[in-house]
Amino acid sequence: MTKTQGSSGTERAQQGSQPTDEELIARFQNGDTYAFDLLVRRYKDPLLNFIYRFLGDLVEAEDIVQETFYRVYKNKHYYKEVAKFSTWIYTIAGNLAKTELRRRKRRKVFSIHKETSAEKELELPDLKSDPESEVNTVVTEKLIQKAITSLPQKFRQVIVLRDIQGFSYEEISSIIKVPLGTVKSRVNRARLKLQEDLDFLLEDLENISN
Amino acid sequence: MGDSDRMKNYISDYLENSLDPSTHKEFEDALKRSRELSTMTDRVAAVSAHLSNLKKHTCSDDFSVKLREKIHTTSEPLISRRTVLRYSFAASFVIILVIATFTITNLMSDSPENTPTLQGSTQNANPVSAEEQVDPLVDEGELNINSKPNENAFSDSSRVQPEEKKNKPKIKYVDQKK
Repeated sequence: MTKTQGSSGTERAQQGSQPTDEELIARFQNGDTYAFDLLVRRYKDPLLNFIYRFLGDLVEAEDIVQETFYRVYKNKHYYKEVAKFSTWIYTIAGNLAKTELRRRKRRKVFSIHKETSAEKELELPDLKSDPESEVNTVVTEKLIQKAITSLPQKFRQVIVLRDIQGFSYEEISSIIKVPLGTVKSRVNRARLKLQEDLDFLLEDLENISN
Repeated sequence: MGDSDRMKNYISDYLENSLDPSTHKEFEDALKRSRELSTMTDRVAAVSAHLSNLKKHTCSDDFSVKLREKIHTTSEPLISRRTVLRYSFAASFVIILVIATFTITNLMSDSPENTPTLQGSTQNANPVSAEEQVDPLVDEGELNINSKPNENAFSDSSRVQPEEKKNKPKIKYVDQKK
């Protein structure tokens, strides 16, 4: 189980000659908008995946990523170098995603309609051009995504940050502002719940691989 | 909580190699004993692997363009609103200052010290010098040396000595018509 996405631009920057996230945001705070463009380039896709896995809707996820960068642009001076930039931007994105979830709860009827259309999508994958293995991958992904979306919010957030985004427990603790022990416990419980929900799928996959 | 349930809490730590040596050994012993725990551990590892291998989505090609548009369209009115707010604060401050000054000036001019009816009753309104103040122990009827404080004693004809009066040259009026 390794860190997958390398989450922080600082780590990536340290390996090469690229400026760190903290250097970029400092330059942006001093009026260098090119530094902001570099941050956007660095974080847009990881943030999209984080929010998409959290909400389950790609279009909404992209809107939230837009809003996240807009907030960073508008509130650039609120960032202080006591925390990592990645922690700061993921906290903003996570809060926006949670707000979206609350909004969805209020519009429950609309949400039910959306779920139905998602289920339809799940039942009828586009078979026109994809080979069988690709269809399986798509279906597997959809099932996994559905299982993630059905997790309680507090478990969903940590599992996405840990297993999809590849953050360390300490970083997750800073992002969601919850003690380290609680984060570890939530990650474990989320994994147990997912293996329970995806039992049939995992069994099938085991059989295929055997 | 049974031993198996307790061990379930260690699955992630075991998979991430973050258990202390004694607990690690205890967990491995439990794995050997319990098939259920063993299967569960394998599946948790599989779930975690599946999650990390999920397809990575990318933002649309026009993401940056849309973002720039959003920043420009949304922040411009905000800036002007902020400017308007700042100016309105300054303007209201100036107005309040003017009103306050006007009110204070009015209050001062209408104050009791300045009203004609009470003007004489207060000594401090028009301060009088020590020489001008009347000594209450002195009877004004007998001696009133301060009655004409600003008058020059030498110009007062009543105080001129009689001898001086005598020496005063007599003025002759000459008829110039002649």
